[in-house]
Amino acid sequence: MTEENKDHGVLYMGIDLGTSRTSVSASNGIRETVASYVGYPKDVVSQKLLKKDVLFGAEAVKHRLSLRFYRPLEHGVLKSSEKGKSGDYEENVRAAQDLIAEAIRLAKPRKDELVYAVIGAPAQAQIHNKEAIIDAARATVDSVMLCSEPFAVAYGLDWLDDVLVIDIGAGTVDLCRMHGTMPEDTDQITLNTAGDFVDQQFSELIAEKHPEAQFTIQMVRGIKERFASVAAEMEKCVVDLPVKGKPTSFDLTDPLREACRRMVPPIVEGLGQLVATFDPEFQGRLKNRVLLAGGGSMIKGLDSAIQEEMHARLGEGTVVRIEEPIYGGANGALKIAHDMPTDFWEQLK
Amino acid sequence: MSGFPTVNFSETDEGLFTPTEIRHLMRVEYDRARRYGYPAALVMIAVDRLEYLHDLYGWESKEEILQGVIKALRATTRDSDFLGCMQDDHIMAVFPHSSEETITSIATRLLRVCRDIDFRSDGRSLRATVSIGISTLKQGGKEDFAAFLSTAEEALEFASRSGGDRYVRRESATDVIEELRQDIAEEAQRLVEEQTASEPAVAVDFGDMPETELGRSLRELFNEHAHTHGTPGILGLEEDVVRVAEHALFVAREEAVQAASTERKEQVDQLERRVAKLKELLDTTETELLEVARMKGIESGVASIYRTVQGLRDDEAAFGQKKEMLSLIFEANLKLQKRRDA
Repeated sequence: MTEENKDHGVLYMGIDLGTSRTSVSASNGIRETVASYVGYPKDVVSQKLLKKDVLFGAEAVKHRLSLRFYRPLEHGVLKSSEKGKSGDYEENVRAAQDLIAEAIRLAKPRKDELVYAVIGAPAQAQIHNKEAIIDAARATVDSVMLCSEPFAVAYGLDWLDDVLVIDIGAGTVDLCRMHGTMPEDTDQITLNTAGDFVDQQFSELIAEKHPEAQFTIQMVRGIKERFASVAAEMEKCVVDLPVKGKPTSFDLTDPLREACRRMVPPIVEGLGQLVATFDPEFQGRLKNRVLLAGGGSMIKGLDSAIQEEMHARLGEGTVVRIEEPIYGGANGALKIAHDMPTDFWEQLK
Repeated sequence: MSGFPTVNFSETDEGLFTPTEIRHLMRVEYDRARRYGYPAALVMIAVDRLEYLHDLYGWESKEEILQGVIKALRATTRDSDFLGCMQDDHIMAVFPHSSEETITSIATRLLRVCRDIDFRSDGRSLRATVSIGISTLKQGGKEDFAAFLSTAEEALEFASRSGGDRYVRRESATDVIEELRQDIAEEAQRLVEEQTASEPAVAVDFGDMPETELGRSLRELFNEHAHTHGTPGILGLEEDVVRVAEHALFVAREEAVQAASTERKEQVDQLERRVAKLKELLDTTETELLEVARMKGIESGVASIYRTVQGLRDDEAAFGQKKEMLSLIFEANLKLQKRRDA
């Protein structure tokens, strides 16, 4: 540290920038999460009513009809992040910038401290996406690095050798093979059969079974987050949905279970690919060290369902769900930030 | 002193009084300050996120940090001030003969000194900050002991919740309200005295009414009438008329006195209502100030526990492996940044 800034503390942050929610863990003990929604008042009237220039998370969802509403990440990456591809690019980047700034604000950094952040990016994020995320973060932090989300999860738990990480988010399922070195592209698979996929499947199944029911994707997501399970014996999912304006009770247990179960085969297929291309001597060990992380891992019975499918397809498998699905990525990113040497941070300032 | 239990003062290992002792000393100082009318202050101190540091770096580091803060506190205070430990690793300090300015200056100094201490744990440089809650007893203050103590505790909690590394001085509304009540009582007394001075001595017993001017005039008129007419019955009529007239006069006077009294009572009632309203306003203002301070606290942030960049330690498990991985992450990011800058 140089003489002029030696009195400054260093606030490390680990940020899991997700499609559905953004979580932050900081070295001041603060851990926060915010739904990844950003809204700007549509006009002067709504601005006066809402008394804010920008709204985030649940508050933005609540007032979305009065807002220009953004979910800046889609399938785990910034929407339209290749410049010139879409007119929405600037708006999405702005929304992502504001979302990252909000995540950092939630961690309550002091003005006199240096803020060093590691942001978890999807395993196979394109270079333009990474640049866009860095652009969004640099406005509010002193130094920023990106790392692969599933790698961050494994690093945070010190599982570095012969591990398969399944990080289920809303936009993507990231599968990552850890074998003692930095995972390369061939060690990682990104699938789109994540939380949003389940929402879509669930919506279709409801529409098929109960065509009279009226619902939105937000409602479906809320029901899923409350009841999601792949277990044969699960809590009855009985909810009220409007039918011609009248609330009517529907039993959605079977459609929800079915929708959730549809994400299992692609995951196990991906795991199979990663196992099959690994050193045969260590394939058995790899199959028995599978870490399940991310918000999607909170689906009840998912670890057992993946394990059963692995037994059926790959002969064996042991799946362990991490203790804190919401903060697993952010905690790992925080640990990476903490362990990173001084000169690395200095060079990226 | 006779009313207090006897305590054998035996400072703890950290050189602090025990919770029982410091409470006893505080009580003594509080009563003495009240009796002789000098200012005193009670200060509660807590190390921010101490449990978090405990979880991360273990009991020894937590103890080291506490010792460092106590040492800083000793260096910042006078010999005549009392320092004691409380439950939950809080430290209590009693400052007799200390004005608000003195206390805030001590608190500011203590915050700075604590901020500057460089704690080391397993080679890591840690930063510890403290939160300070202050309760002051003004000269002639009427606040009771329990309120004095709870005010300091509330202030400490507020300082901690606002992000720590700050002091919060809270003054109980009790003294302010007490002053207002005293003013009202004095005003009411003045009005009563005014009323008493302006009222004539009035006898309300009509059986023994004093003779009035009106009564005398009426009697003279009836005497003249009796001499002229010589009618004996006129004497009886005279008595009746005088009695009725004087009764009417007394009733009218009593009504006037009553009206004046009611008016003064209304004035007192109005003043009391104003006191109640002012108290309510004071409470609301206090709440709003706390809210503003809370918001301000959010903006000023919560300090990191690290003073400098930490980096991977040599004795860390899988040191070589992690070092290589971190280098690869860095190189990938450096490449990304160069590409971006280009």
